[in-house]
Amino acid sequence: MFEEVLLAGGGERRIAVETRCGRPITNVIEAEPGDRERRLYDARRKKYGERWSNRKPACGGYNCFGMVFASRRTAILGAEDADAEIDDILGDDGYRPITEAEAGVGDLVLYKDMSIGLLHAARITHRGDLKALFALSKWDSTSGEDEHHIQHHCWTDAGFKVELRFWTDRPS
Amino acid sequence: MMDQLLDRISSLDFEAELVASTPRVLRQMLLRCPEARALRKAYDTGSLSDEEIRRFVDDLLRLGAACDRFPHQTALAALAVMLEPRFTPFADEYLNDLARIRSDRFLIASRVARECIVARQQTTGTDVRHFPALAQIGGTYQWNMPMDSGYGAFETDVTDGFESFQVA
Repeated sequence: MFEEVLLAGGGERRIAVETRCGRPITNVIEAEPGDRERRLYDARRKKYGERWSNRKPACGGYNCFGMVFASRRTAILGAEDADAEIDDILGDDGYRPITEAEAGVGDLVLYKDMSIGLLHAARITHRGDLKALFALSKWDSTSGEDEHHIQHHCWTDAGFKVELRFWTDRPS
Repeated sequence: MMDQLLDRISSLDFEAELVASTPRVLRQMLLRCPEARALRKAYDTGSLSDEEIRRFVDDLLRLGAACDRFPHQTALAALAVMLEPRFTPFADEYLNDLARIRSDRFLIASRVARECIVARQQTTGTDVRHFPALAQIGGTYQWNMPMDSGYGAFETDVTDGFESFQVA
């Protein structure tokens, strides 16, 4: 099975990305989305993103972790233990956990499901009315970027138990 | 019924519900989704055959042949998750071949297959148990005891005929 694909090869593109302590970060540059992926992004925006504000149309190259940790250069898909890898990046790059009340522009919000583990990372862009936090997200490797209320995400269905965790690189 | 299920996993609606930024998350979501469970049940009861899966995958590969990024990776990943706990030659072939692909066209699907292989190895212990292909049932079965070699008690190797036999 998949003989033709295996014969065709193709390879994967990666770049050197390291944490501040020199620890290599597994990464791969994702292909640009095709017509179907663009329609998929539109479908998701219709389904979840009524109140999202679009910053950038569907694009490849990076995912949410690549956006916040690798300057949009590549996707960080995680090695064998993806959550541990993100913990390593946070630790090596000098991030510390904070409360939602302490979070501000430029800080990170990580979405974690209690049974699945780490789902998503987004960067906080501003505090809105009633001190609501807004963040910039790239939902997957082919979506665009959207600014949204931190509670208006894609995992609001009953099956998910999503917890938000906040991190900052500002000194305490 | 089966065609509907296969159409469903290759549909945009199905993919739209599975927002996953990494292959690990996609596998976890597929494990929980009713479609993957229905596929597994169909496979176990025989209403979905290896040949049907092969034909379905061939059709998808043909459809996405011209695309820079293979557009039906979620469907391939769903089949990988379905086959993950099934230790048949076909499941091995599907998972191993998909996991071997090193192409940025198949990044997500191949990584989900790798996650599935790791998970099934953890389930079974250190190795995967392979059963030989089933012979056609018919005729009579005869068990021939091996002859005593003359070097004392003879222990029959009951695992003879199995590859990499190991019980978790």
